Amino acid sequence: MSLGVVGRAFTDPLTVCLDTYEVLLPEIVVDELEDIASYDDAHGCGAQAVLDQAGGFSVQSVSLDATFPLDDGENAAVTLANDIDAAMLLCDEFNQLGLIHASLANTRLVTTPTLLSVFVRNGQLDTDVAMSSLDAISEARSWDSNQYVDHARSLAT
Amino acid sequence: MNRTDALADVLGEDWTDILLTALREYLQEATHNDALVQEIAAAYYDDEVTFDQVKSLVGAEEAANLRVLKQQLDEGHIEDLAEL
Repeated sequence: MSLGVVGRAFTDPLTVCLDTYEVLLPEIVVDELEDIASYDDAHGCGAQAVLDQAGGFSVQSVSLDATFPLDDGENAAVTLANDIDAAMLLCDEFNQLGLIHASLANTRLVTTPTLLSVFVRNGQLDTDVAMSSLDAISEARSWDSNQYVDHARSLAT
Repeated sequence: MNRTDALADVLGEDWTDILLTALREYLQEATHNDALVQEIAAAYYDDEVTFDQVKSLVGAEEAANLRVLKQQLDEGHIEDLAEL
């Protein structure tokens, strides 16, 4: 949802993400996006922007691992990542990252600010675009006072 | 200080006990304060405090979250991700 907030005004990070990787979403996460998309705010727009690019990702139903003390969406994402031995899991649930990280077998965890700096490093996104994207995402997600996000800015330059 | 003396008399406690209790309560409250947790996080990302110090301040669960976020800032980690 974070990347969807930015919209498609330029070579946007959502498109870069979907073009670069084979993206797989658990069905329950798509359900969550559909719920969020019904709201008329930045989160709603972000979720809708992702759903609008449904051709760019696959959806898979996942049976939840009841032993994970995580919300259904995160639970499904971790379970799916482990099932298919995914290279990366994109997750911005900062308050659950320790647990999510520990639950992943071989998959590397990535958060959106870091993913943006990966795109900059690979020449797929201009620094300016990465910065303005991060500003928009930070505002939508109330990350303004988050020190990780603040430190991540210096990585994308 | 007069008030501390008075409170010590009332509670029949030592001055030191009162100060220690106050300090303990302050630390407990402070580590649930988001702004202070972010200060602790920043010091940790900048290598000014160790993981063990962070853990003693914010608890194991939050410290584990901050450890993952610190890793997200690691140049080597980003290089690895860039190759995927």
